[in-house]
Amino acid sequence: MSLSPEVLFSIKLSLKVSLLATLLIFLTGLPLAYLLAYREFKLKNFLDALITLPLVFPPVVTGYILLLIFGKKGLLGELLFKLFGFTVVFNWKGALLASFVAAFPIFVKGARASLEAVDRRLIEVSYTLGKGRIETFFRITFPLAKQGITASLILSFARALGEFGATLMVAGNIPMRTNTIPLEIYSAISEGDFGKANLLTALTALFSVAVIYAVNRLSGGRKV
Amino acid sequence: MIEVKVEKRLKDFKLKVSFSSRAPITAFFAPSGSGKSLTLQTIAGLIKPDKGRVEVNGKPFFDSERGIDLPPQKRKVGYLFQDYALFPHMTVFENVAYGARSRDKVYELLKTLKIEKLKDKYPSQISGGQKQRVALARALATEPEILLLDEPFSALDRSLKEELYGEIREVQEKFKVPVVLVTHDHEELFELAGWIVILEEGRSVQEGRPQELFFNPSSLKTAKLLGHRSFIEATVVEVGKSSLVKLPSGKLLRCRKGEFRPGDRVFVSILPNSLSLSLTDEVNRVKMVVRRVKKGMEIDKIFALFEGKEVELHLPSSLSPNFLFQEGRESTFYLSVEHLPLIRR
Repeated sequence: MSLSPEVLFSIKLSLKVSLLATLLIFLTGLPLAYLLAYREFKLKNFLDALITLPLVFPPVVTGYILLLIFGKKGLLGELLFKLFGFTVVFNWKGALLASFVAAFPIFVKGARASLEAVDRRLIEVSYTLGKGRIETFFRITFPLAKQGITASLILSFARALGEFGATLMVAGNIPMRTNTIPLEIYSAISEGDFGKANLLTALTALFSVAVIYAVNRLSGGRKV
Repeated sequence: MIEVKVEKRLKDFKLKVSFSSRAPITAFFAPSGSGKSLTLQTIAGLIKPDKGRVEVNGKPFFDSERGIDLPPQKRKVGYLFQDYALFPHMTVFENVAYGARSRDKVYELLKTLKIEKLKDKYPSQISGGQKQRVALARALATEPEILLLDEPFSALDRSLKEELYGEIREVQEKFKVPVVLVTHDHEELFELAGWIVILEEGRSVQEGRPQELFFNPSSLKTAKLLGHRSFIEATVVEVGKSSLVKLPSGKLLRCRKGEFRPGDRVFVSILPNSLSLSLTDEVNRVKMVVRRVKKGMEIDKIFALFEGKEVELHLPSSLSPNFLFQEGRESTFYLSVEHLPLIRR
């Protein structure tokens, strides 16, 4: 049971895809969570529902919809391909897109709840003490919501790492190109290579335990 | 110096408050849910009124006609929330320094409010009274134009309250900052306030100096709010240095002067402290049947029947036991004219 190139590749690709997806989720999801938590605007409920969809749709359906939008004949995909020669279908960017979309709602929902849990009056006090919105966010709101936000981020990373259905639809199951760990496990089992499947499963299990431990520690109350 | 005249319509509540005070300490007095905190929030700029004006020390904070609406950051209002709202992730020092002009200012305030020793503690490690001092220091550190205190003593026990009354007064004098405080506690009201604004269901119904207000409540509701207990219906007969009123039984009673005319229908408020010990010109002599006597540490409460109503009278315990005030016995009471205010019916 040695680490075959395929196994190594899948581990590397999985880490690359899920880390990058998590980074993008954090950068785009946090402002969105802030808006949902503190601002009133038109279509807020619609936006909230839209973000939630990947959470309730079967991943395969999410993947198919992504294909309809970003495929080479898709609504956006065709334009992107013609203008920039850019496509996400059947390459690692497809895996990234699938992971991003699947894990996004987990972070936004968790981060929003953490922000909403911050005592509104602390924010108001900060305003009366002369501090603007941005300074208040970085000195009061974010530090107080940090643990919840970090926990949500870890959970969404785990979701990105485990993405299978949507990835299969968008990026396909191509060895040494789009095979993330879950896809590699799937292939291994189809081919009867249980040694490989067991190894990757053990790795995934180990990681999952680490995630649960980290999330529990972070959400287990404030130290102060 | 503060002038407020604001209106704000909310889902199922309408706020319509106006008052103007030059007193060092102004109190909003009202039962809970009457819009006191809401009014403070409009002064602080945390809630935008639909229309009106807010002016503090001659500076317009809000004026719907002139299109002025300063954000809370520019108003320099020290706002103390009911449970102080200290930043839980910062030490006492960091809390006070948060909005402070300089470190010197922080040290000065920690010293003034006697919380230097707590400076490295977190809010969860200090007591309620200490939290209040920290919140006060934090608010004062920005050198505010005005201090708004939302029920600042409600969470504290009695002895601590009295200590803090003194402190608020000291702070007010030392920093020359006008204070507006919200309360539904009589003691707080008459102990601290130089000007009282009474709110009822979102409306300001009366304002004035404590003494004036206490003896001239504009309605029965306000009178009850201020601590008046017993009321007898009457009609004004004669006005002069005092008012002569006719009671339901036809008996005449001399009461406190007010803005009334003969024929006006009024309530006589029999204040609990209206009992007088001697018979002079300023006193009515009435007969009442004592129903119950409730002995207390400082005062005895006597419940007696007068004009078919039960009235509550207070007497220093040192004057008891007194055979005059035996239960079931008809006794003669002397009621001080000045302590029988009239309220319009």
